[in-house]
Amino acid sequence: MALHRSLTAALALAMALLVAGNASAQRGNERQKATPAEGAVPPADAAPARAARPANPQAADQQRDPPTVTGTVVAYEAGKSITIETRNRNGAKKSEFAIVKEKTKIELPPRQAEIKVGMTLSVWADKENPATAARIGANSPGRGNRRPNNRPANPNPSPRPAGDAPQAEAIKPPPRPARQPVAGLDPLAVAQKIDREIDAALAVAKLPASPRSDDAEFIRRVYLDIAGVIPPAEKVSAFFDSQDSDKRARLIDELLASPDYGLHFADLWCDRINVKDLPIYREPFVDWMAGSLNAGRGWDEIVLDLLTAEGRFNFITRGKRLGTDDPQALFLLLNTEEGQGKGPNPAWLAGESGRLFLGVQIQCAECHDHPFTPSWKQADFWGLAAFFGRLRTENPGQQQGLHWQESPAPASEPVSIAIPATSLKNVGQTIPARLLGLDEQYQPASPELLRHSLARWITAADNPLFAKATANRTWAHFFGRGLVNPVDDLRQDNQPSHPAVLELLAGELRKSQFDLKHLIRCLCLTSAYQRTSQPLPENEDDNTKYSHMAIKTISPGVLYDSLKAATGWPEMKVGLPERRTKLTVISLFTPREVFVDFFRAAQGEEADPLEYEQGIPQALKLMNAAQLNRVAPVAQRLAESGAGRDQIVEQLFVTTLARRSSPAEAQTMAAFLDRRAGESAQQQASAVLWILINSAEFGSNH
Amino acid sequence: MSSFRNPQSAIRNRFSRRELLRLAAAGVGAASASGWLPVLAAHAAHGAESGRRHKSCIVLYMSGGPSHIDTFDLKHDSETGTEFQPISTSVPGIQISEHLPKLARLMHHGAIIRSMNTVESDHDRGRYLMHTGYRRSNGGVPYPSLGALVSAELGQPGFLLPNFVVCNLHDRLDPAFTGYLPPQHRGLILPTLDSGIQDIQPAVEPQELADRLELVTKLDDAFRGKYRARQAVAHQANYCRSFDLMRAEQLKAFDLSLEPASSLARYTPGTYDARDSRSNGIRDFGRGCLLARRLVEVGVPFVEVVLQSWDTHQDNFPRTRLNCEALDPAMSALVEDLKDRDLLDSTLIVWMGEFGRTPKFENTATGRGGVGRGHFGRAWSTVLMGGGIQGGQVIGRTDNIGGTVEDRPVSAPDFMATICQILGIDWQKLNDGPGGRTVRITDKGAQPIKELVGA
Repeated sequence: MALHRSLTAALALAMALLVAGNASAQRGNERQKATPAEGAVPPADAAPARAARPANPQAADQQRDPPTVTGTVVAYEAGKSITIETRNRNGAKKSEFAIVKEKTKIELPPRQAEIKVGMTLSVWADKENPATAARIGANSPGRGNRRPNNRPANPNPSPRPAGDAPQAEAIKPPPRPARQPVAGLDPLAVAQKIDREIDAALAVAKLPASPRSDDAEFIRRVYLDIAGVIPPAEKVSAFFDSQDSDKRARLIDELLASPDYGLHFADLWCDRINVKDLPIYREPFVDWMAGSLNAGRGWDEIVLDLLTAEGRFNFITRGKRLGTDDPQALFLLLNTEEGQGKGPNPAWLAGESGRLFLGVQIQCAECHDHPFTPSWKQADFWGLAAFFGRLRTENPGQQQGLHWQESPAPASEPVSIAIPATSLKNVGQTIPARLLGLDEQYQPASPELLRHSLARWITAADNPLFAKATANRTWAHFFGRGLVNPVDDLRQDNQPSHPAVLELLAGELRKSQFDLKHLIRCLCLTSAYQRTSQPLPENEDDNTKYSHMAIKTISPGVLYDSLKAATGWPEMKVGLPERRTKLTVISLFTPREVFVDFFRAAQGEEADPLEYEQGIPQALKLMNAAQLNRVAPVAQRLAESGAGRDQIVEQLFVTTLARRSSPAEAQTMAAFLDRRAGESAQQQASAVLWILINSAEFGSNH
Repeated sequence: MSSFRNPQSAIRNRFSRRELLRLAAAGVGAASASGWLPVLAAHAAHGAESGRRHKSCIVLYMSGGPSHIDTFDLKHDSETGTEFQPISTSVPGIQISEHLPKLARLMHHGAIIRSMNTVESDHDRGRYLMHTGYRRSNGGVPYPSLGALVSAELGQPGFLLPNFVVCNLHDRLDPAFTGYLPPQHRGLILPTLDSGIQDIQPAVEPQELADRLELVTKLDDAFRGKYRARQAVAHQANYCRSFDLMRAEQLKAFDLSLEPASSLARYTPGTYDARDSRSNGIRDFGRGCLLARRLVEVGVPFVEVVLQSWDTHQDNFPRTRLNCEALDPAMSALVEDLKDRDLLDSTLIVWMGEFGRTPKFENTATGRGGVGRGHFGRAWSTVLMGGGIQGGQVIGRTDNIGGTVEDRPVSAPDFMATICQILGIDWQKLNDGPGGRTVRITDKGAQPIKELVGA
């Protein structure tokens, strides 16, 4: 029941935000819309210049006696201070002013008598009272090039062209509070706290922990987990040679600062939001998400973007690829039904939002009260779905693209939704809108955009599910299993294995404004993460207490990138079967997408990270594909380097497995090559590379 | 989602005891350079002694949704009825379309279910429903496709060929998915029948391949020994199966060139134009049916053959007629061949799409010649043949326009339970589903059609 109470508290917060958010139209936003020429579609190969646009909303206001700032009130203490936020889609800027009598002038909107949070107004401030500014969503261009057609990251697409939004829509979503950088985070201290909890549980179970991993195990593991690719041979050698006692922490930081971090996690999220039906949109989405992650944007902000996107999906081919000007709308697109009379599906949106962001399997209650999870009733599900009930798609023509619009819910009118015929039970019944865990029907105090209200409630710092679900998923990525399993099934009767660890991590997320890099640092610095995956005889059977590291199977995308790294081919073109979409344009798929599609285990579910999921066609591919039987660039280079035969073998072990060979392995390889004495050095190196790539260890992360 | 299954039960699920024994025999510690080969010999022996003990199933999947009104449930009573004439069949009282004359003569082997009553009218969701017996819920339990289920329930562990083969799949509506079942049950997709199984030919000499795999085995052995990596066990098993398949005698079943030309001509009579995709599709369907027969002959338990282009929103009559001209010879040759080989009673042929089509016309602006029909799940037809069912029957009845089921509605779960019962699969069985749940093979409330399977 604790869950219920805290949710109530969360709602109180959400309601406060909502009330604050319903102020009249903001001039700041209007001005943004008028920005000319931003909607022009750049050619496919041109780097979008729009990302670098500086946020300077004041510039337009420089008249004779310009106000210091015009924007939305986000905080106000009568007679003391006022904080104004100006915001565009490149980020937000927050300015705090002390209210000094005679010196600070505040202009209220017409017919308003008092200052309220959420209101738009202008402030003329004392010059000696400098505004603080924090820009959110700064973006760093990705320099990684292991994905095909990788373009600079563009986390903040341009606003819509002028005159694009329907004029009738007067309600705007309230601005988001601006972010200040968080100081005082101490990941090492958090890691130590985690280890204390884990060690205590091991002690209770009388299980010894396996020793720390060696450098070889660690560098391959941390590369695969953070960057999603095996480490380059020269990095491995340098890491082995380094005497720096802090080299593991440094490597973690280095990987988190590399563009590969964002690319890898964006890739993972593509799978989670089930992009496989529409791989065509993967690339722009990955660009956007990778840019956001690499820039260190808070996860709450990213999710808010996903849920409140408006979309400008453009179905016109640009070159060979389909383009999109608003990639974060992909989540909406995937939950929108095509065809006449169809549109955004409230049930899918509610189910997916619950599962992905709150870690609750509420979608099971779509058709009837859930038999396994008594926590969620059909009325809970549809109560949540009702918040998406006013969302519509408009497709003003192929040129314009598809966008999502919501009519504001009228004030003081209870919100509800009718269960559609696609459900199994209670079809036609009207269900009141209701946030999870609350009893009262949701009723806006003034006209508002319900989807935005729900999105803010989902991502609110006080929402206990959001922080825990985020922590749990991230934990599962690094440790192979969640603290709660399945990772998306947080509920009262499915308690975490280490409750204090989950609480601690959720707290760190809140404290750090949902900084995932901070969370990852905390996890990777633990002794638990850095333990070897080699079990001791006494802890061999343990797979829940983290006595030794779990062995994970690398995902198809990581396998593709790692094969590229291991062979040196710029692309893996391994003769994959043709695949057509409704658009019947095969060339729209990159080789990577086709490969991932071919190696993906099952449809409609996330792969189990602890299972080997390949079937016969995949093994045949890795054994017999022409490209994997030619002399790979890596083998060629090594053969021409003048290195001796044993050195080449050793170098191939480091390249593929990030380790040196054991004496027995070196001996076996030598015997194997002795039988091929007549072959060229390239052929010999290629045969060894083939063997290493086809080993179970290559496809494992241990 | 099925993450984090109990690893031990997962291993058990994935590998029979026999397979695990094979692994021990095949890989680890085998000193000779041909360690893989004795296993193959053992398989050959096993295959010979075991024979064929289970039933098989061939699904002829009419992708797009065939019009029941213009094929197996002709209606003339309304303005928008069929323009095709009914013909009599080998069963007195049963009439079907004039464009299915060969099948008409074989009707005593089969049953038409004219009272399909399903709930989906979207291609993807309808396809999912008809392949699983469950409606798809986003993010809910992922159910296995019928072929994966048959592979899990009827597949023999020592069998070298894939248990689930899909022919002629050209679009993204992939029926090869395994849902909560392990990936070894995923269907082997043959997008075209010209190239057979992709990558089945070794790129190097077989002895060289065996030699390399010997080293892979040693690496895997060390990895497994040091880390107790059960992924290495699964990897080893998969490579072993793949290598076996590459050298399997039964691979010949995939080679249609071994079939006499006269045989192929019965499945796809007429000439075809290689440049015309439609013509290719017709030829491929016939070849797919022939391949299905060859695979069933060597013991493959499940084959799905796809015939595209039933989504007749326009040109319903000419297109349905063309499709029937592809379907009729291929399906009837399949039935006859299986009969001749004494395999018809042990092979169930299922003719189905994702739904039927509306009694009303669409695209009427184009005139009578171009009219189409929309998606329609409320009342439509499927056909079952062979499998030892009580043939020569019609199950259920629709109203005079084919728009409402008037007698004996058959739901997708009922249909699934019927197929399972015919194949000897316990449709009430509980399987291990995701997250430690148990999942019924067919949805609650399912009832097999008694008239077909006996009481």
